[in-house]
Amino acid sequence: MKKILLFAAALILSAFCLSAASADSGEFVFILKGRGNVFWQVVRNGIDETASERGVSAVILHTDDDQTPEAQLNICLTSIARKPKVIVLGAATRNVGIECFKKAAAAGITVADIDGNVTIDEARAAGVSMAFTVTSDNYGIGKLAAERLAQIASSPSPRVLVIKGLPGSIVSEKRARGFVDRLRELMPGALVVGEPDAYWDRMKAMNTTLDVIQREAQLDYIFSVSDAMTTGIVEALKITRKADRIKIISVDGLADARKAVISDRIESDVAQLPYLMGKRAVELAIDSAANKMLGQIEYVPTPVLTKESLLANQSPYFKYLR
Amino acid sequence: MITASSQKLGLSKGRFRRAALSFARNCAFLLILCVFFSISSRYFLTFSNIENILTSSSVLALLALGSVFVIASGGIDLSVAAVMALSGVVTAAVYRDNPELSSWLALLICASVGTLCGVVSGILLALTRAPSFIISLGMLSVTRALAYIVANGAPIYDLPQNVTEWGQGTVLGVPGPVAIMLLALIGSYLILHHTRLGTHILVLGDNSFAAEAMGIRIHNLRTKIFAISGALSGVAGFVFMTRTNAGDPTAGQNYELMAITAVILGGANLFGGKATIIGTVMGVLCLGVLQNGLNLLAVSSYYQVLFVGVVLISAAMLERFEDMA
Repeated sequence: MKKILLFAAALILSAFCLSAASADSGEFVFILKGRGNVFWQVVRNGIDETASERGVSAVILHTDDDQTPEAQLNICLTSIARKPKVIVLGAATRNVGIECFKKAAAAGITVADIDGNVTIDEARAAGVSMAFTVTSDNYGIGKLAAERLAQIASSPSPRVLVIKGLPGSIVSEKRARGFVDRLRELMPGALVVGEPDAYWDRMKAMNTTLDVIQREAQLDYIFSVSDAMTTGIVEALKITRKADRIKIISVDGLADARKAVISDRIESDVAQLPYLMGKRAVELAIDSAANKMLGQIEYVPTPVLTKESLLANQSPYFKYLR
Repeated sequence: MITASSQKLGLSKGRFRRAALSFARNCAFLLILCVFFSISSRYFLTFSNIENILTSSSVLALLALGSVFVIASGGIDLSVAAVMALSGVVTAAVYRDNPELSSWLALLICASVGTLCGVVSGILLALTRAPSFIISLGMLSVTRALAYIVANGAPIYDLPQNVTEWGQGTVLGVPGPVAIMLLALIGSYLILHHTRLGTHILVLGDNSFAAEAMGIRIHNLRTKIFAISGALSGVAGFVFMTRTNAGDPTAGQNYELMAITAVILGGANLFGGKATIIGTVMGVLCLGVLQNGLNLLAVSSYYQVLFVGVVLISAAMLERFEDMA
């Protein structure tokens, strides 16, 4: 009995301590995806550091991975209860995003999007006024990748494999569509031999590449819509000794992919600048809390990283590479 | 007149017949898939593609081999994939700071981390007497979280070449992952089917009261079972890490379900008492052939998931007909 009472007392004391520690409601809440996804970790770093610099309180919450919309909705509803000034959401799906925004807006909280999974128009159509969205132009990213390929291609009719992410992912689809559409304009003779999905997973991208190479012995290029998958593709080409023959163009521009570009394992990488995305999300959130903001769209630049540009440190945006 | 010995012979005959039917079913299934894809794609039945299927299936095969022991004993281990991730991450972290270490040590570290996790699971089972589903679910969260913490959330890339050679090179002409898988297969087969430990595992799964009445120390046995499962998960982590050249805390999401699927596809009874190593590997190969074949045919991802589901249901129905026969 004594032990039970002691345990209960310790539990109550811990509860009070935790309550004191979390008394700060956080003016700005950022709900992101993929705790294990390096892209979102860099976004988080951008948010963290900018919030510290600007002296604002930012609460950053993640879901376990990119594929848990319900968990993200639960996080959103819990965040609304904390009554922040602004909620910025990197929505797992558009529907979850809109549902979260509706509830937050009804509670008088300013809402905004990061990474473009809910557009201003989609929110407006659902009756929600979004303050801003900060995103990359994913279709434009695909186009840049195709333009890079056209620039380096040694033949007018290369064979190209497109590795997409999660089936149905808007981000993945836009990048792939942008790439294929632009490639067809610039190189009508190019052949896209397949667009398999690799679920943003390294091993799956590796196995899929190994399978496709079986039937496509003359493959020239691979366009991968994210660095997370590209690292698996790099290993696949190493195993099959096709790294010299097949060139990879990737997206995201994360640290390990940049190393791979410098060491010629990846031909080029269209950088998303997630750090800058996080930074601008905080700055716009502060502005929107101070002045009513409606429907502002901000596209983060997407420089194409090549070995030459990285070594020369050419672009003014490279300072945001993390 | 029915004597004890002829009864025993009758039981053995029945069991042998069921095992033979199960083996024949597995072979038939695999054969049907191979024939189908050989006809549909001229790239399927090539040496390099067969090698590709075996290599791609190696990680899942190792996880499934570990799961066989647990399922055969009437338990379940949901932490196998998370343990695999933790093993890879710990080893990658060691080699990031000490790239000059021997590559054999990498395998040892992976297996040791996995075994330790398995032993912890076994001890927790003994202490709490809770269902293995609950304990292994808890261990899944704990080991996955530890993997994130050790890796600081991000994959640890670029291992020394002598380490990645295991996953990307060959051993006597056989791809490293396939060689490791074959060794694990032989070891698992011998343990489950030709040792007292294996017999005790099957008895435990068949009837835990009988096992206890026979004097088998259940809790010790469960700890050994989970240690074996953990060790094989650790080896799977080694293969995953060396193939992908990264210790990845997110490795193997949902692989535990695929491993259990392969074991059941191979003819094991989910409630224990019946499992075969060869059947399990056949189950893994069925899944590997299916995935490879669908990729060769460039089938959309939506339909790939559908086909896998249909195959699993078909396998379950075939087993049902076999039981009724």
